[in-house]
Amino acid sequence: MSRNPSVIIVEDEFLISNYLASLCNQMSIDVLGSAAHADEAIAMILDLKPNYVLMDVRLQGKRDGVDIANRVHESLPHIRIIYVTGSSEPPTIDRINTDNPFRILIKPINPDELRSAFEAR
Amino acid sequence: MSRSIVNPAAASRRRAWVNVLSGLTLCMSALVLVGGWGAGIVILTRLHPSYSAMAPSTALCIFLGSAVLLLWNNLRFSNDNIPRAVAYGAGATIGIIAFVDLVAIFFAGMKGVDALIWPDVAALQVSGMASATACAFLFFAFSLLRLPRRLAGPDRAYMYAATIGLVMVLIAVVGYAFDAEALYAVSIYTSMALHTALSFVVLFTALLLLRPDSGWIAVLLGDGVGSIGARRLFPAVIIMPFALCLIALAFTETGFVDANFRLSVLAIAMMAALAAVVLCNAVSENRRQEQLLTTNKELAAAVAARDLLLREVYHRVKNNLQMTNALLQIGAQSVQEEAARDVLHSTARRVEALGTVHRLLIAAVIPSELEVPTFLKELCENIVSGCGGKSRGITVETSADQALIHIDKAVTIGLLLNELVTNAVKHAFHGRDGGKISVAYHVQAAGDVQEQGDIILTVSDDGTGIGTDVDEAPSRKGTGNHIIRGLVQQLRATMTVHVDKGTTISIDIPNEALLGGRYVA
Repeated sequence: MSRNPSVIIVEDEFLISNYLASLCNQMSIDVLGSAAHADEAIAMILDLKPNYVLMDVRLQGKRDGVDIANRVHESLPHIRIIYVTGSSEPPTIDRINTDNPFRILIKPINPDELRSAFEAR
Repeated sequence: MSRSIVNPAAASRRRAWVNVLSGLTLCMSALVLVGGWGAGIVILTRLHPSYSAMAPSTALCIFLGSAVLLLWNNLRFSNDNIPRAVAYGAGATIGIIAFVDLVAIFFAGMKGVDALIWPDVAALQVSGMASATACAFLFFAFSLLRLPRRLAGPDRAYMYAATIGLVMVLIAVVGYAFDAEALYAVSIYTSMALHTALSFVVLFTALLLLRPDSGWIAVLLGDGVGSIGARRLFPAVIIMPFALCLIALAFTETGFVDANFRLSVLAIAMMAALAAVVLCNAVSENRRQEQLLTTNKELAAAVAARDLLLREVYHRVKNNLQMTNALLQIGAQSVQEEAARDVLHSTARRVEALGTVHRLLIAAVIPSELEVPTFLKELCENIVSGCGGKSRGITVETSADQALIHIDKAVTIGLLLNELVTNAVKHAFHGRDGGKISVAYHVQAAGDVQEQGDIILTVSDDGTGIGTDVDEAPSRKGTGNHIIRGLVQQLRATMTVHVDKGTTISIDIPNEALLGGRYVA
């Protein structure tokens, strides 16, 4: 049984999701799974209860990453959500801030930024 | 038809009006009851010696009705049981009084309900509640009883009852204005007092203002352009015929003109006045349309500016991707190891596929949608020449249905085709020169004519079959297949491979996957 921190990746672009997963693996963080849709993501996070979630904001479908985070935080308030977003414009950041995010990272993500987000306490 | 009256300013104005109107009738009926019937001030019960008087029962019912309207108009929460009970109680009381009155008049030959409790009414020359008054009260009571009902939609029955009541009493008011004697000649209107008729006009108007969510009152008070126009025309259309008739009557009574000539003058005056109203409305509609056209032009200019900006952005993205491509190619030249060079070349080609999407977007009619036939042709020809297929005599043939594809999906499908076509060029024609690759994009017919069905994307070659790719370095093959599987999954598609005198890969992409663009919602 490993003591590594665990993460679930919520991202609808396969290539980016894949890249984030390989970065996490290099940092000895267990990737429990990845989801591309809101329903799938909520079910997976509530089921596997990871330490972290890497959360994309814009997703396919009506609900975005902040909706998922709000739902998850209702049941599991201690999960740390690291937002990974392509848009740094104020409306998006304001929307993320309504959820009391653990960290916000703006794409493109470099490995050091991700590492320091995981190492933050 | 505009039903939604959501404008809060208009709603509070309406509430104020209902308060004023029902407050008026409340005070007036209290005066008639206390001052007129209690203290015996005749002018309060009978406005003019030749007019009918307002019966005590009528004044009482008006008082009750006004009080309920005031209560409901100022209610914050309609889930309270007390106001509901008050509305039901008052509605039932008024309804019963009016019903008993009608029975007393038509079946007992009495002078209405007042004569039952006050036998010397006849001696006082009071005629009691008129049958028209009783009828109006029945409509009023019906509306009051419907007031507490919790309905999902608008209450049409309420609106109809209030409207019929309003029309009924307007006849009496207009009758008084023209000739009270003539009005009294109509049996049911005999003995409806002038202030009773006026009170009813006020009460029914207040009822309609309290629930203006259906029928003509919704149209009249709505937010739409038509409603605004209707409000502008309404006073003229209502008041003008009345005023003209009144003037004509005055003229004939003074003996100025004779009755038949009066009719022709009246007809002409009515035509002229209505024509003037219609034309005035036309002028203001024209002005409104001009404003609308100006706004449209401004919007069109703004959209054009946005399109231009978007194309500019695509242009820059394309340039940056070209630079990335160049950097990767330069990097590849300095690498000695063949496997590493291969990885850099494949990556460069993937970047180039992304660049093709953006290059085509610059020229697209709708700046976020691509025409599939052009996209497919350009993309596939680029891929084949990019990985050295052209010099080996490999040709690519594309066929696509006339359809549009959103930038998001174009990127995904572009990357997917890049892998599939590159694989075909590299492995399908192993050990021979020349060959043909066919790429097709077909939209399947859906059950619904309006809707688009699934997309079938096929890449086929006339080569030697998929099993020939043994020379391929495992890492390269792994990355390509990994990308293919991931992108197919992202599109929620299913992939089938068929090997028979060449390889045919067919990918079925569900229509929902293409519709779920991020910029749609």
